[in-house]
Amino acid sequence: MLHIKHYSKGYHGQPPVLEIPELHLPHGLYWLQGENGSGKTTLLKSLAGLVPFTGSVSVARTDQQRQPVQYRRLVSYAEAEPVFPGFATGAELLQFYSRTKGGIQVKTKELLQNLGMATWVGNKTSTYSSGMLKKLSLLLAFVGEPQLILLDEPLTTLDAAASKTILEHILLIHRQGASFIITSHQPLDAQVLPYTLLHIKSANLHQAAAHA
Amino acid sequence: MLKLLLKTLVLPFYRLNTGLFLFIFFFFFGVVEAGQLISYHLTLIQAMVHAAVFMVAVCLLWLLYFVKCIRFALKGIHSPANSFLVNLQALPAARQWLLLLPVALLLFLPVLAYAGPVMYVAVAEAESILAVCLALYLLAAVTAGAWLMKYTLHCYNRKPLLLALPHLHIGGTSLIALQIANLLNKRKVALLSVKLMSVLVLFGFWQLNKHFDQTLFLMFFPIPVVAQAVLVYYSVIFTETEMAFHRNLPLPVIRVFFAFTCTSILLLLPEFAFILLHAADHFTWPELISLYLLAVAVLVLFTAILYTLQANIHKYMLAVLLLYFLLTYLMVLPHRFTLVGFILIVAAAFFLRGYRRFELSS
Repeated sequence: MLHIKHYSKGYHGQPPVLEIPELHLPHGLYWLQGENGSGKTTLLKSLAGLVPFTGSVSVARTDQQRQPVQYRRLVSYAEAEPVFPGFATGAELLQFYSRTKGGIQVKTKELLQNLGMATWVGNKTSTYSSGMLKKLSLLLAFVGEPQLILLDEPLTTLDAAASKTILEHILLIHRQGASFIITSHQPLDAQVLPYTLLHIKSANLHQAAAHA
Repeated sequence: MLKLLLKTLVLPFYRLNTGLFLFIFFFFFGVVEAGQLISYHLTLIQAMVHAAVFMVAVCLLWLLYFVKCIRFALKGIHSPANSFLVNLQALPAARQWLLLLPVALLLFLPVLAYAGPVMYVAVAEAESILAVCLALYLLAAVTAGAWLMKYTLHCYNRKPLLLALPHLHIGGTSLIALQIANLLNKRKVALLSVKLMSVLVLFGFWQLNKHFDQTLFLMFFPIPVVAQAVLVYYSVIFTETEMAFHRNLPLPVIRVFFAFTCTSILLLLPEFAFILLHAADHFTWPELISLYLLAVAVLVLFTAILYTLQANIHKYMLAVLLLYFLLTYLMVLPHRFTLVGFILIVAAAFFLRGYRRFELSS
């Protein structure tokens, strides 16, 4: 599913913060762990195509550099601290994503209802609380038919009910064929989400055992 | 205590608006040769003193600057980090005025510094009433600024009216619509200032050159075009911060380039309309269209330069300055459509390269 080769990312001439000589991850649900500042977000942003890096990354044999448009149809990303234009409404952003990513699935519409977003999604994002911004960001990550969904701290700022809904939705979408890489400082329950551990240590990514 | 106020309300203003000040400095002092600087400004000031419409427009421009300063100060007072400022309420009223008047004075300093010579020229040209009116206008602005800050400190729970400027809703959900909506909502003071400034410069040209000289106009034309450089900067910063998520969307880079081109086309419509109204008799339609497209191409090139320079404002302003001088020579060349095509190709090449490598430093 995900293939990384000769990946290296540094900032402004500094030594690389993260290097991955070669890594192949099959379809799965991965919990990416690492200390603060170890490069988890940098890796997710690189995989999402948000920041430049050296090396190559491909998902389902679609290379990020050579097939940038197709690649971005396959990979979605939700930020840890999402930022949106304050004058735009959630519904407008949803429409923007839907147009580019190829439509909203029925399950995503259900998620919108289940997260209780229907009443406020038409309001400007400047009026949203951090939890509401998070819900919108997560919902947008499910738009289209991504094969790899990158979620950076998906549970922070969410209430217990919303966290449960999101975890159930992740499992549902995973069973339908999508893979996930999730960073989370909150513990993930292996009984709910059968994850495989990925660990960033000393600027390198290591794969650990699967938990089910 | 004054030191603390300056640190919380004045210094951050100048730090945050370094780009704007660099741009204004460049716009007023960089576009003419050093030897002609004094005569250039003297001509400008004389035009202000003798043409009432010009003076009113300049006062309106200054008013926009005052609004920008005061909005920043009021936002600063309301920000959670500065909530300690509410304790100033406890001071005697006279002491509060003594603290807030210097804050307003320092925020308005760039305008006050330019207004001094204007008043001096007005007195020298026997327009003393104008000089007095101007002095009263500036005094009223400084006092109103200090009063608004004092009022905000005392009515801390109420959102000041000045902070609640109307929001304009743009229905579209394309990158172009969102970029325009950003300028109309979050950058409305800058947008208004730039538009007013560029139209004012064009108006000044018509006032000073009653007998239209086409060559002179072509050499003058880059000034209102480069005035848009700051809006281009705001559009790129918006696209790479609040719209950073667009990089994860399956949008071809060329479509992003096209979005910036369309935004430039829309941005320059007011200037084009002004030139159409005033210079339509002096140019043929193809000449007018080539002028408009050239201006658009230059803005697109500014965008590409920003991406190439990682949105470094200092390097960007230097590049804008160099391009301005280059443009004054290129303007008078024949085959302007070819020049437009060449600039767009160069801009596209720079954009494609710069966009992929771009990473906004935090």
